[in-house]
Amino acid sequence: MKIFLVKVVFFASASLFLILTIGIAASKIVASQAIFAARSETKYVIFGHSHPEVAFNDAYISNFQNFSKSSEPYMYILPKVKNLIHQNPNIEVVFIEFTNDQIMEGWDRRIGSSRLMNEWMPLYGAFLEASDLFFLFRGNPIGLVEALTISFRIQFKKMWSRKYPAENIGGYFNLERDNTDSLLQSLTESGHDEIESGDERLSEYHIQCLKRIAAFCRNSRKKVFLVRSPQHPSWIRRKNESLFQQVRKETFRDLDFLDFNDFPISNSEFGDLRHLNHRGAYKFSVWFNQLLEDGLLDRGNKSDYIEKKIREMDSTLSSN
Amino acid sequence: MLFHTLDFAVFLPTVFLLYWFATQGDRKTQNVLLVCASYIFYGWWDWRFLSLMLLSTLVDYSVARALSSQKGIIIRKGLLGTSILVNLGVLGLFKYHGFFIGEFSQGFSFMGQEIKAGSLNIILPLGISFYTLQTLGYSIDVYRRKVEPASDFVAFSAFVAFFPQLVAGPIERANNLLPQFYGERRFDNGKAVDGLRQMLWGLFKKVVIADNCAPYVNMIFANPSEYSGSTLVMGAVLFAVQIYCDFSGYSDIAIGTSRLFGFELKRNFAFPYFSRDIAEFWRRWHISLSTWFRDYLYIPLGGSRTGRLTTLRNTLLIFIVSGVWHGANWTFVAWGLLHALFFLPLVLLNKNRVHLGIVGEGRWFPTLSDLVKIGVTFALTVMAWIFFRAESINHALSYFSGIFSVSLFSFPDFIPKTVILFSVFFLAIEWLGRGQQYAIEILTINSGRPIRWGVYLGLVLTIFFFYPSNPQEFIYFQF
Repeated sequence: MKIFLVKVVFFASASLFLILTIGIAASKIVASQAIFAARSETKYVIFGHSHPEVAFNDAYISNFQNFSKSSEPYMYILPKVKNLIHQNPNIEVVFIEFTNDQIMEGWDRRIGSSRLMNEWMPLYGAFLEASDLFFLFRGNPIGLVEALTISFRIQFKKMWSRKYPAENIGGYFNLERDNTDSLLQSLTESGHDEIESGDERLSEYHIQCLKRIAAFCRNSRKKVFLVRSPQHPSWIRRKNESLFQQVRKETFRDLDFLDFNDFPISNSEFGDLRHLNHRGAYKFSVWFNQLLEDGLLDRGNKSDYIEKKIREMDSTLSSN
Repeated sequence: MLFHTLDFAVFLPTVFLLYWFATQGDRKTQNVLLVCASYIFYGWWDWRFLSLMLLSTLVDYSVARALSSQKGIIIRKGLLGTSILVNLGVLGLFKYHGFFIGEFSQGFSFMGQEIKAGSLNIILPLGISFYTLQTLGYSIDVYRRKVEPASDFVAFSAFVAFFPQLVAGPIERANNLLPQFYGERRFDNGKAVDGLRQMLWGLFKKVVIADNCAPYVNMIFANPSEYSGSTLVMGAVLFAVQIYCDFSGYSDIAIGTSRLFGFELKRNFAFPYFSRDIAEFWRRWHISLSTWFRDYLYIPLGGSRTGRLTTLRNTLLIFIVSGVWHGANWTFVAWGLLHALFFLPLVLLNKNRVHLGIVGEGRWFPTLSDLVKIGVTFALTVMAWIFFRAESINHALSYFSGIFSVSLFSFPDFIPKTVILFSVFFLAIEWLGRGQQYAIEILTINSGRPIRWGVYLGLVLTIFFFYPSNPQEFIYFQF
């Protein structure tokens, strides 16, 4: 029995070693061969979670490409930014969504959740840095092992089939729904708000990753802007505005912040309290395109200019 | 709990270590542990259905005990009838009630009468068709005085619930498995290594071949009208490969797992796709089921001893029952009938026991004649598998009409290269190992350690890296 057990343990260890070696080698090969393609005319790119994903319809914004993806944390955005910028020298400007919910600790927990790891690791597992893996290991070691297992397999299959174009790297999502009025009504009737319990503390790792993205873009001589896309005034996350502004000013004071939070959008142009639907996206994207064409990014005080343009838009809508 | 999941990867070593170390070799403690482990294994899926297994165990244990003390033929028949009624009643309720209600109401609506038949929406308990036949076989054997009734309830419970073969067989006979629960078990290094090897091969078949065939098969069978005839043929062939690797893979894992605990289960597959006629195929495919039907249905009905016509009737009946056993759907009946259609001419011509040995024994390649026979037999089984895999008879017929079109002679719409590569490799190993209990034995038994370990590591790595993104349940779990 002893011999049997020793042999089994030795065999299992040898198998594990080979799996790790092949998995890491496959990940390295995929990381070096991966193709992150932007359109040749693209100068502006935006990254972020579902808010910009549904707000920036790149069909109406010249030389612009939306790479946002729902629920995508900055940790996984970083390899995407790196690869896109390396492989597409035509990209000049990087917009990164930075909004009220993204400063909260919930994102740190979400990054380490098994569900999200299983979703993102197959896409970006090959590109993660040791510090990212360590952070995931600290939070959810079993989840990480499971996600790495999936990631190794996916990288191996990519290598095996020589399919290197990166998939599911984001894009504009045409949100059809129009639930805002009914949502507001039910929230009023129930007296509930949407805030999650235990989510009042500040995120550490998520914000750190945003800093790494900004640093990378600057080192690559790209212009970087933080962007806040339009949100409904009743969205519960807006209650942390003072904390949000504090974080922004303390942590990202050297970055321009383009705030479109108060862009005039009616309830029927929101899908829900945090997302624009396709009507809202059209209205906002056409307006944003005009701002870019008017040279927003070269102006001295961008915030004042945006405020002025929003007020103009507001008054135009009121007079109509 | 599925064999190819992380749950089982934790469960098996735990039970193994407890079994050999914590029980200190005490047979009774080992049996208690096996019963507990088996109930956990089964309850992992749905603990509520443990009660059905317990009911079946209690009824057959009690019936057999009573049979041993009764001499009167009427009482003995009554007792056996009770076992049959309970086992088949439970099976009928859970497996066939929906089918009969549906057919009943459809029959009435056809005659112009609308009746609203309610359905109980009962889900099919896992493995019920397998352990029901196993316990029923035990009661019949005790009735026939071929087996002594179990006096040890724990040993009998372990016989019914033994987790390696609980949900999809092999369907064991009391005279083979039950005595193994009575005897002392000593760890045998050779058996355990052999068990692990067979498990590894079973996992390879299931994970690398069957589960990687599944997406293509599902896609092609979901919309046969969208594919060319040649693609439909490829889909049917891939299903033949899938179902064989899925089910024989399960059997390999079950037999291998049992060996780790010192048990020997019956062989369930013997390289059926190298059969030279349908009769040989049925001696090599799902052996534990076909021999069960032979011993408990075909022979009691008279078998082949009471004239040609009775033989034909009995053979036809066995194939229909075998089809119905797989599920409550006309497609399974059609599958059984089609096999009967292929089989009966051999019976009529007295040629159903021509090919009893190993094909091409002692040769590297089959003779041309054998190759043609193997090809024809495989083509016939593939045709029958189309009915087996189809959702309905109409679905199967539309699949066939798609095959027999001009596009049959075109190039398939796509070629799943990796799956084909693995299938060819698998076929080659199966051919080389056709004289063994399971194919991989040939590559390992007489080879040096480097080759053996190389083969094992190669299999482990292939299983790991080609593990599908959507692992499939074993196909036979639904039966």
